[in-house]
Amino acid sequence: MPDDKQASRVKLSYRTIEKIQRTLLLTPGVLLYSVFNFIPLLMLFYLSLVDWPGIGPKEFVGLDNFAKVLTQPYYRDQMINALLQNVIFFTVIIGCFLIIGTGLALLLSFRTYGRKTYQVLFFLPYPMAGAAVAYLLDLFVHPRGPLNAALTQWGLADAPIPFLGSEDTSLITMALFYSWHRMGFAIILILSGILAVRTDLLEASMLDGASRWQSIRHVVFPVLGPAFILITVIVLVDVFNNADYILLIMGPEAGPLRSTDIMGTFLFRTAFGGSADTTDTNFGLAAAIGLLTALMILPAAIFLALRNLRKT
Amino acid sequence: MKLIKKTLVLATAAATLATSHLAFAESTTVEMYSWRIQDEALIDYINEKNLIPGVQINLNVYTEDIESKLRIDMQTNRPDLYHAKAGSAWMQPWIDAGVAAPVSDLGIDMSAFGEAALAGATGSDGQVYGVPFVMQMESILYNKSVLTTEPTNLEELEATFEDLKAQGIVPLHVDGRDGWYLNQVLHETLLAGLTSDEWAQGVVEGTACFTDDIYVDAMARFKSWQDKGYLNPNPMADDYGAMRTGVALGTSAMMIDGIWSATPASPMYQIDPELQLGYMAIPGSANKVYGFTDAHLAYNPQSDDIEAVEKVLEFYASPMFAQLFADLVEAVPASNYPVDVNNERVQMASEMIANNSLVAQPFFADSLISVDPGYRPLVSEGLQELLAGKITPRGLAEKIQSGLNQSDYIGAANCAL
Repeated sequence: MPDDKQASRVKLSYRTIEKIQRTLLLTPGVLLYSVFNFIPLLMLFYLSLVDWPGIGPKEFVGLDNFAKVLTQPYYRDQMINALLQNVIFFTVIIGCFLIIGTGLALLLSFRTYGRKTYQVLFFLPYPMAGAAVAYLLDLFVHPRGPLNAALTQWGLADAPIPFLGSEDTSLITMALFYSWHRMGFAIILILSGILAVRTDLLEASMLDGASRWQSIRHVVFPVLGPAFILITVIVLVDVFNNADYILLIMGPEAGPLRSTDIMGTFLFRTAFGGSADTTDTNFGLAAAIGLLTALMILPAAIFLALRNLRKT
Repeated sequence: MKLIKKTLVLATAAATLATSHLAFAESTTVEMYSWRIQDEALIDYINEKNLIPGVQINLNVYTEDIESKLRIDMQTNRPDLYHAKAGSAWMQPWIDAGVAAPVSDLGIDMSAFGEAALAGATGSDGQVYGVPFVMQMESILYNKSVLTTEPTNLEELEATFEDLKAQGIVPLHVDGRDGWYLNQVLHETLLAGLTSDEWAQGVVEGTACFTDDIYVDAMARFKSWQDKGYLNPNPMADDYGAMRTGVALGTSAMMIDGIWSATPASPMYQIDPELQLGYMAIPGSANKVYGFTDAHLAYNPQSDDIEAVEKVLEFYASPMFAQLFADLVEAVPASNYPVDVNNERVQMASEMIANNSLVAQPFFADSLISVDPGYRPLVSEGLQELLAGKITPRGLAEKIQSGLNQSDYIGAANCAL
């Protein structure tokens, strides 16, 4: 009996065992990914081929939903508008994260007085619920809110500025809300990148006579590339798929005059109806919009991810 | 001692089981979904007094997006009953899904309801899909501490606007942000005050057009109020809450809104518990308010407790319900039963709805809302553009008309641009 056991053990080569171990380690992840990502993705494709108000029988319409979004002026114009505004929304947010976030992370990396307190302060908004942040910031920028009171009191504005009531300012204001709320996340990622810079490299650069700025530019920044790419990919995927602040503050109509409409609000409005009309809903059309959005951001996300992999 | 304790525990458990079994045997609990938080006290009262023998109602209130909640829960056959919004377009998906059925299937007596009340609960097939229970009125609502005398015509209204503006008070506060407010409240109240029954009936039937002078003039008059500074400075920056807050605080004198804002559950009374609100039509050529059935009680024909459902529907159609509704919700019941109303506001609203409301209701008309793009989004988008100065009143009229004409609107040929 012991000989048999030994014989069976001998049969498995190291490579085979390694394969089994790898398979066993991968299985939970693959299963979870399949159940929660891949199968829903296939279902989404099926859903995009039907006309369905969310309840009752589904009517198979083939590729009509895609044709509707891409060719019917009423929907096509909304999608183009939402896509362009989404690009602006993303650009403002990523600009804030990479410029302000890097600046703040650098300041936090210096051994300055009260550094820990600042770290806590910068990170404080991040764990707050999106709904609470949206509500507070809406009150903050309201024509009768504290920001406008301060601006008019200090003579910086003659009359209250309708930050969320004007087509010119509402999208940027919403992007700044998002940036303020999630800045802590960007700072932490960038800060961890900065702290990972080998101190001997910094010391060497200083011994060679580099100033603080030169050390940052030539030693720290090159190491921050992967952190920047990670932030860009996460924000890209997030802002093209979600629209929590805009839905909470401006509603599915994404006013004023659809000036805050992005892909997430367009998709939500198509699936669940807008506040102007809750009866015109089509989950199939919304699924088609979701798939088109995924196709639009996929190349950029893959490119950035691959670039990141090559660098690491 | 241990034995006594054990015996006592067992006896208590047995007694509890027996009592609970008795309770289950005595009454059935039905699930009801609603967005109407103001009805909670009424349902509690009905349950407490056992007014529907053998039936308890568990009211679940979802103030936001009840449609999504219904879509999800109907997959698992919940709820048994639900408050439904007026109009056949709202009912159609539920009818198609088999979770709404005509009340005639259960033999509910609907003889106490007039044509106007039943219109909101009628599907596109002409069948009645629920028991209407509340009428609403949309008009000018004003803060009585700011505006003491009601103007009787447009000239007087505009003179009042001018006086209020000179005092630094916003004469008419408008929510320019919410699509539902713009098309369902503001636009329809403007129609009721400034157009006519004939014209409104005409657009529903396709014999009148939005490009007619009567409509363009009405919108031009409204726009002139904004141009003269009678509206809040940035309507697009103000939402529904900001509008009601302005009037409750007295920094704004009037708003165009539904009478639901004046019920005890309204947040306006949290701002000022002593607030006194007055109501009047826009005193234009029609000088009418906009009255409509706001909600009806629909039922799920696949409910496991269909007998209990039937009892609740019968109760909603009874004179006792009408009286309780007027007393406890302080709103206008939809049935024609004589109701002893002590509340001045309910009394006034019922009289205004009965005697002075616009006959046709474009917002609920199948001919206007079942087309794609429909009347509702076209109006809300157009009104926002008007308030933003992007289009003229005639441009608004043409936008609505051309949008409707693109689809199968009944009056497309008659109103070709």
